[in-house]
Amino acid sequence: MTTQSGVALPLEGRRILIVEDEYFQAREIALALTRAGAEVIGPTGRAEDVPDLIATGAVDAAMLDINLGQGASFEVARSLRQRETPFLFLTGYDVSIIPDDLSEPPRLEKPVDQARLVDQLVELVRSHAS
Amino acid sequence: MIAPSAWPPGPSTMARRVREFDWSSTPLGPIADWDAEVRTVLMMVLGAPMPMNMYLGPELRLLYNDRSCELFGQKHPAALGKPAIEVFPEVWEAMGGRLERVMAEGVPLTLEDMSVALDRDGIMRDAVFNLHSTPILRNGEGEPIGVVTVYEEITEPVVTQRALRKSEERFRQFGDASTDVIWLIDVETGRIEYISPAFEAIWGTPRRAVLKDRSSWAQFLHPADRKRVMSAMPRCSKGETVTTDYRIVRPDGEVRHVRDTGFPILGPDGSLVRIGGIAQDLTERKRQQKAVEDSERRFRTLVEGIPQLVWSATPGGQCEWVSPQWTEYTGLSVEQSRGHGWLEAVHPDDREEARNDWSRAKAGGELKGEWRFRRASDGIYRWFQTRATPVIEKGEIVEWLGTSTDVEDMIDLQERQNLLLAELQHRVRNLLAMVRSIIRQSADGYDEVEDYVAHLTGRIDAMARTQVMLTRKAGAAVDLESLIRDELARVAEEDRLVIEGPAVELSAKAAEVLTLAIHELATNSIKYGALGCEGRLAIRWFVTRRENGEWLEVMWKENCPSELAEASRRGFGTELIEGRVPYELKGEGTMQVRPDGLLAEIAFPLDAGASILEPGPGRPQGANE
Repeated sequence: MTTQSGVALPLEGRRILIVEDEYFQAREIALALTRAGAEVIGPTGRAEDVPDLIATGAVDAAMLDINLGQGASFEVARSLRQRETPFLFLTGYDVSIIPDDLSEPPRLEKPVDQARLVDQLVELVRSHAS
Repeated sequence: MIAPSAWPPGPSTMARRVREFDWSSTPLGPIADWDAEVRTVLMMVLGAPMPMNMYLGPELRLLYNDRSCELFGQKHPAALGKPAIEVFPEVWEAMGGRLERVMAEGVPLTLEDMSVALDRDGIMRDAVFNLHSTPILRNGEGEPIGVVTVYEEITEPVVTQRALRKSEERFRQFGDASTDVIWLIDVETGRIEYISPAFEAIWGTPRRAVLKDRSSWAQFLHPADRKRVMSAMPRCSKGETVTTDYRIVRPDGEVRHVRDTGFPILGPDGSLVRIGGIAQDLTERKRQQKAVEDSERRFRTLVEGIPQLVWSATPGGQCEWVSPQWTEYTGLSVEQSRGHGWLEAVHPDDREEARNDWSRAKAGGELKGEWRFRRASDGIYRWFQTRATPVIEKGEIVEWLGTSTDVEDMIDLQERQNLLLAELQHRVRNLLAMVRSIIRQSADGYDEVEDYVAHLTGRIDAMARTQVMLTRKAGAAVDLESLIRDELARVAEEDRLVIEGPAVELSAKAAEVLTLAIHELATNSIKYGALGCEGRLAIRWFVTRRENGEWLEVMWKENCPSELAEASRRGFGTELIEGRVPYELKGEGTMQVRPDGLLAEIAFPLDAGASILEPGPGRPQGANE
C-alpha cells in the first residue's frame, strides 16, 4: 500500500504488536500505525493473549504498556526478548521502574506523540534487521 | 662532813657512793681499815657486769654494784651500808635465813628461780634469777666475815627481749599505718590491748573510750545489726574465727558498712590468750557495688526492653553474648550464637556480605550492615539493619556492642510509598492520555462548538468524579449505587427512575469505565431517549456466577412513549459499552435500540481490574526483582 502521492509508508507491511490496556489509547495507536502502513497485531490489554497473537505469524516489532491493569509487569517483555522480537515500552510510569535487565529497549512516556512512536518503531525494525 | 675516801676507785655510780659513804659511823669502821679480802671482793663486785651484792659483818650490811641498782628499785640508794634485815624485811624469811646460814656455816648456797620485777626500757617486766651466795672467809679459810651474792639471770636473754621489742614495734607501725582497724583483746583482762588509729577514721571517734572500756564499742552498732553482732562475739572467745558484716552509726550520724573478722591467738601452751581482729570499712565498696549493680540492672532493662536485638562480640568479631530478644527471634541460644554460630540465622545470600562488613568494621571502627535474619517462629527472613560500636579501653578495642533493628516494615513502607508514587504518575499520565482520546472521540459528529464543548466537559467531569471517589483514600472501592445516582441525580427526576440492585463495591478500573458509560447513556437519554421524552428509566443490576467467578450484570432499560430512530443512538456511548467494557474489563457490553426504548447491558467479572492502589496484589512485580 502506498499513499496517494506514491511514497512508501514508513511501516509498510510490518506486523506490529500493540499491548496496551486502555481501550481508547490502544485504538488510537492502532489507527496511527495502520495509517503508517503497519499491520496491527492486537491490540490487546491482556498479557495472557500475547502468546496466541504472536503464534499466528512473525511479529516485526512490539509496543508494550508496562501496566496492564495489575500494576507493572514485565512478563511479556521477557517473552518477546526470548523470541528476539524487538519492542519498545510505552509507559505512564517513571522509567526508573523498569528493571536493569530490560534497560535496553527504548522507552516512551505517556502521553506519546504518535509521529514519534512511529519513528521509534521504524528505527526498531531497521536496527533489528541489520 | 668527812672528806671522801679515794678508795674504791672507778667511775661507776656505786664506787662513788661507797667512797662518799661514812663507813666510820658503822660497826664496819673506816673503809681503810677493812680486811684485804673484803677490799679485793668489793673491787670485784663493783666492776662486775651482772648484779652482785656484798653483805659485811654480823649485821650483814649491804654493798652493791650499779647493775643491782636496777633490782633494788626504790630501795636504792638508801640500801647502801644498811643491815640486810632493814633493806629486805618483806623477803627476810626466805632470804635472810640463807644469808645467815652462809655466814654461820661458811658454805655457799644457791637460791633458784627468784623473780624480780624490773623496769626495762621503761617497761616493768619480771626477770628470773638464780642467786648464788658465797662466804668471804678471813685469810681465805678462817671465819666468814661476809657474803657475796651473784645474780644469774635465767629469764630469756635480754637480746631476745630486745628482738621482741622490735617485733612489737613493727606490729605497731603496721597497725598504725593500716587503713583497716587492727585490734587485740587480752582474754584474761578482757581489755583492748591495742587498736589501730584507723578506728578513729572509720568510727569517727577517739580510741580512748574503747581502750578504757571495751564494751563502749557496742554503742556504735547500728540498732538493726546489734543483736546479730553481739551474739556472734562469744564464738570468738571460744576460739572460732568469726566474720561479721555490720553497720555502724558514727557520732556525726554517718552510717558505714564494716566487715569485722575476729580470730583466736593461742599461747605457747595452746590456750587462748588473745583475740585478734581486723575491721574493714566496706562503705565505699558497697557503694561502688551498688552503683555497678544499678548500672547493670539499667543496662539489662534497656537491653531486654528495646525492640532491637542486642549482642556483644569479641574484638575479632566473634559473637560473645546475645540478648533474649535475639534468642526469641532467631531461636539461637547464647551458646549456639557464640563465635560464628550467629551466622546460622543470617540468610545464606547475605553471609558473605556480613563477613565483609565485619572485615570493614575492624578497619573502620564501626560496623554497618543490612542482612536478613531468619525468624524461628515461621522461618521467614526479615531485613535487619545491624550497627555496632567498639568499646575502647586504653586505646584498644575490648569488645563490640551491637544492635540489629528489624527494618522489614520500614522497607515495606518505603516500597509502598515508591509504588504509590509510581501509580500516581501512571494515573496522571493515563488520565491525560484518556482526556486526549476523549477529545478526539468527542469531536466526531458535532457541528457546533458549544455542543462539542458541553459534551466534552460533561465527560471530563464524569471522569473527575470517579477520581474523587477513588482517591478519597488508598484502596477505596466505589459503591455502584452511589455511582449511578451521582450520574443521574442532576439530570433525572427521582419518580421516573428505578435504581435497584444489591450492594456492590467496584474496583477503580470498573468504576472508571462504568462512570463514563453511565454518563454517556444518561446524556444520550436526555437528548434522544426516555429522559428527554417524559419516559421511564430502570437501572437494575445483579451479581451472577459464571465459570470464572462472580459477574456483575447491569441492565439499563429505557421506556419511551414514542418510537425512536436507531441511528441516532450510535456514537461515543456505543464505543464505551461495546468496545471499552470488553477490552478493559474483560466483560461484555451491548446496546440495543428497541421500539419502546434503549436496552443497554453491561456485564463483567467483579474482580477484573482490581485497584492498583490496594495494598498487596497491586504491587508491581518487576520492582522487587
